[in-house]
Order: sequence, then structure tokens, then C-alpha cells
Amino acid sequence: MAPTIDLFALTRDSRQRSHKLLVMYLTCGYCEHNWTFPLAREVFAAGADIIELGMPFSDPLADGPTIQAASQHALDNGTTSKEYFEGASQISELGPTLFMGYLNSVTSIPHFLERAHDAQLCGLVLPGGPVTSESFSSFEQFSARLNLPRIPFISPTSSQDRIAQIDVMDAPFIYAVSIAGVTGARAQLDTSVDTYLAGLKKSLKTPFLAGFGVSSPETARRIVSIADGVIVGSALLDGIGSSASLEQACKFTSEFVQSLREAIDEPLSA
Amino acid sequence: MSYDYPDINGFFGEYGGQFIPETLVAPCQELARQYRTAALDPGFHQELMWHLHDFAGRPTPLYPAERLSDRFGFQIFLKREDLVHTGAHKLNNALGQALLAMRIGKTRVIAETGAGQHGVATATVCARFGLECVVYMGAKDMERQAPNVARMKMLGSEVRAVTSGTQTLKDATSEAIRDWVTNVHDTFYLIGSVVGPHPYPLMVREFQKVIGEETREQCADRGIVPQILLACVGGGSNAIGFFFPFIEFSGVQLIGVEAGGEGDGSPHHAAALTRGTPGVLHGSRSYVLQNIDGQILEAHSISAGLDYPGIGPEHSFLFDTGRVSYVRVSDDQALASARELAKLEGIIPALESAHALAHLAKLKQEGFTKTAIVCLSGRGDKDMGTYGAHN
Repeated sequence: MAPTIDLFALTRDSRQRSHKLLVMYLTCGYCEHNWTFPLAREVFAAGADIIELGMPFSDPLADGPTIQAASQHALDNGTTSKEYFEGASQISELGPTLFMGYLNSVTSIPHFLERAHDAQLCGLVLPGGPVTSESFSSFEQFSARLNLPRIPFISPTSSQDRIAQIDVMDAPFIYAVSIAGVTGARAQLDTSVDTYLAGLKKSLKTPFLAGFGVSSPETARRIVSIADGVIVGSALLDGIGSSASLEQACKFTSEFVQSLREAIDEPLSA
Repeated sequence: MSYDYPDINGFFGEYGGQFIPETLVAPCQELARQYRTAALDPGFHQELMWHLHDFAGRPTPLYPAERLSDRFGFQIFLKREDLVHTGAHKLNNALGQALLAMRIGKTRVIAETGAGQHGVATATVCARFGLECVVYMGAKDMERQAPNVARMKMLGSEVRAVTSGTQTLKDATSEAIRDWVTNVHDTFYLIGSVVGPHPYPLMVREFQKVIGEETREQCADRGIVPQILLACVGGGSNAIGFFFPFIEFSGVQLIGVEAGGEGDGSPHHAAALTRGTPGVLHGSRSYVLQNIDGQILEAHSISAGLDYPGIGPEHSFLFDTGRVSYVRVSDDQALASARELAKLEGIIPALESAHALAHLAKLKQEGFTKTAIVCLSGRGDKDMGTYGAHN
């Protein structure tokens, strides 16, 4: 069994080394259940630092059409928490793996946190909330004990006070939503994103990674010129979804992730 | 007994709260703040009361249903929300929230709708106040409530068909929330029931409590002493509005009627409280219909307005505390009660309201002999297709 990943150390060290983090999102069970592991292997082999493994949920209200459709597809394929945790424990052998999903799964699936811990997942990404520790304190204490920190979000609508509060929450990193909206690839990101991220860089001590709407190596590069890393999901799923076979999906995944890795690693002066 | 819920964070005991994407945190806090200020402003109340009176047609009658009373052997009154402009209680809330939207300076309004009654109410107030309006409605609901779709369009609203998931109210609500997250700078989300993140369950209750307040006054004026109040519960806004002013009167029994769908032996129902478990859906913690894996289940009810797998957090709290009793009525029982009311009283009720009426038979069985008031939350014009198909 791979050693449990300390996400705190990972993000801290990356910042010290000026290594920009690339996080890729995959929906477990998409397109087929037996695709998830081979795709994850390609993702890590092509240079991603972390995988966010999505547990499909019936009502993903922070997600746009791509992840909604992928989730529904995975559910229709019979992906349940059993398949999810089996997949997660295999993938976490390959590299750091985060849970991405919705609070109702966390609270309603029996022994969720223990099972996530056993699967060596190293953090929880919950884009639909909770948004405060107070509203869910017993859960937060428990998840922290199991080394499953919740990754807090910041959005362009977050107030300065709130940003300051989140910064002192003791999180391995903060997920900065690049635009007010749902997940999903955008052809371009408005220049206001750069201003917003630059503002965060000034106010935050905690490392922050930006996601939502990032679809190209160019945008990824733009983001890591300010943030500690970038999170890409829907654009990867779009490519996987339009692949005719697992082989084709693996090829797309490998090339796409590599192109992101190269773009964000290019020296700044270039 | 003093009833002081929700708390400052929007919790009714362990239910409610704000379980939302970060982008909506600041807007929800701002909305809560704006609502609190408006609620304390006599000018806001005056304006709302004027619209409720002259535009919506309030107060609605408390009608003694004599032939229905003869049929059951106890006294039955109907609180006639079906006579509110647009045909249901939904307008009470839509007016309140639209006035609030304008006060905050939002120019675009979005809403979700199941039966179409809330959609029509929202389209109506947006037409009245000159606001842009987009209504999300499940494709399946658009089919079974076609007259309401036509009404919304005539009132100048855009109706967007939701084709994801179950294509009913649940998915229409998710889609409305996604629109809100994306357009939060200029958009006001006008939620139609006592669901969603804080402050919605509070706000919608406050805008709907006019139903119960009027009932209380009408009872006092006419010396009526009700022992039982009955209301149907989907999300639960007519029920909360009707019950809330009576909550501290322990002598009045409050009964919420859920949609039992095809009956107790069937998985096809919409009884979130009496056959569901606590979970998190659409921004708050409440009872929901879900499987063992936490996936939200498709609800079923012959009535599109009750066809929702969740319920308002305050109902969840009142269910746990036992202050309100919740029961189930099947599709068939509701249909039969609607026919009975039409023939005995000359009133065609909405299928939703017919669920509340259907529990009267149970009261008779139990030997009830005193006075019951039913909240007749809406009229049945929109349901003529269903009534015709089940003749």
C-alpha cells in the first residue's frame, strides 16, 4: 500500500520549489467502469500531480453540462459507492487522489469517511458546500482526524473578510473558482480573472489552485503565472466522451495532460 | 411555548442552513440582510399589503363547505387560496419576493416550477413590475401542465425546458440554481417554496403566513374554533403559511398531507418526510427521498406540484418535534376527493389541494366530530387534462 499522502506537505513543498501543480478531474465510471483506472494511469504518467476523482451524484448543482452528463452516464452504468471506493483505492496507489463530490454522498453513504480513508483518499472537494465549518463541525473534526481535510473554495463573489477567514482555516490548499458559475470548459477566460487571481495572491498565505472554465494549455499557463496550480476537468471529460474506444480515450488523455504540463512548466521568461 | 426558528444561520434544529456553492455565499448573506431590513420597514409592508389586496384579491374567503360537512358529519371550512389571482397561493410569495428584488435593484428574475403555478405567479409579477423573467420547468411537467406554459408565455416570460435527470421539479430547481450561480450579479432567484438555502425557507414562510393570519382573524370574527388544520405538502409553502400563525396554539392539531403516489406498497410516491431520510438537497438539510448510496430518487405524484423528492427544512423540524402530524394520501384518493368537491361544492380544486381534502375521509373514520379547516391552495383548471384522463 502506498504511504498516505500528506497534502499539506505536498502543496507547501511545491510552492517552495516553484513547482506549479496540475490537478486533473475524472468522473469515476465514465465512460465505462473499467476506463477509470487506465485513464488515471495516463493522467499521472503525463505529468499531473493530483487526481480529483468525482463520485457521480444525481443532482450535481455546481456542475455544468459536461460533468452532469458524465455523472448521469456513470450512474446509469451502475457506478455506486462500492465501485467508487474500489477505483479510488487503486488510483491512490498511483498518486495523490482527492474525493470530489457532493455533501449528500458524504453524509448519507454509510461509513463514508472511514471508507474514503481506507481508500487512501487525501482530501475532500465539495463544490456544493458546506461553506462554513460551523455548519458542520462534528463532521469536520472527524474528517481532519482521518487525514481527509476539506478543501475550501473562494469565488469572485467572496468578500475580503471571508477570504481572510478561509485563509486561516488550515487547509492544504484553497480552490479558487475562476469565474462565478458552474464547472465547464470555456473557450476563453476574461481578463478580469487575472486581476482577481492577482488579488488572491496578495491576500492569501495558503497555496491556492484555480479551476472552473480552464480548457487550454494557454489558459492553464496564464493561471499558473499567478496561482500555485490549476485544476482542469470538463475539457478532459469532453475529449474522453468523444473517444470511440478506451485506447483512443487514453491517447487523448495522455496528449492533453502532457500539453497542459508542458505549458505550465515553460519558464516564465520564455 | 415560544417558537423562534430559524436561528441566525437559518437552522430549524438540525435542518436548513446554507449548503451552496461558494459563489452564492455572499449573495445569500446579502439577501438575508436585505430581507431583514425590508421586513422591519413599514413602507415595504404597506406596499406588499396594497398589492396583496388590490392586485391579488386578498383577503380570501374562509368558506363554510356545507354539503361537504354534511357528507362527513363534521364542520369543514375551506381557506380559498384558489381564489387568489392566478389561481393559487403562490402569488403571495411571488409578490413579496418581486418587491424585494426591485428593492435590491435586480432586473432579471428566474424561477423553477413544477405544476406551473409558481411559474405563472412569477411571470405575473414580472409582467406587472416590468422585470425580465426566465422560468425553468421540467420537460415532463411542461407536457402535463401545458395550459400553464401557455400562460407564462403570454405573460412575457421565457420558459426553459429542463431535459436532464427526471425532467421534473427537482431538475428544474437544480437548473435554476445553476443559472443563479452564473448570473448572480443581476439575477434574483425567486424560489417558489419553503426550500433552498437560508434565507429562503424563512422568507417564503413570512410571505405565505398571510394565509394563516387571515384564517385566524376570520375564525376570531366569526367565533369559529378549529381543532384541525389540513394542508397538502410538497415543498410545503401553503402548509407553512397556513400553520405557522397557529403553531403556538397547542389546541389546534396541524396535519400536513404528503403525496403517497401509487400507495404504500409502491416505490412510486413523493412522501419525503414519512418515507424519506435526512439529507442535503438544493441548498439545505432536510428529509429527502434517497437510496442507500445517497442518490436522490425520482419522486412520483399525479400532482406535478407535489412531485418533489425533498421538503422544506421547517417541516422536517416540525415532523421530528411532532408539532405537525404528517400523513399520506394516494393518487387515487386525491382524484376521488377532487371529484367529490366539484360535485358537492361547485369548486374544482388543484390536484395538490385535493390531497388535503382526501384526508377528511380518514378523520371521519377516526370519529372526528368537530371543526376542520382545509387550505384549498389552488384551483384545478390546470389539471383538467389529468382529471379527464382518469375519468
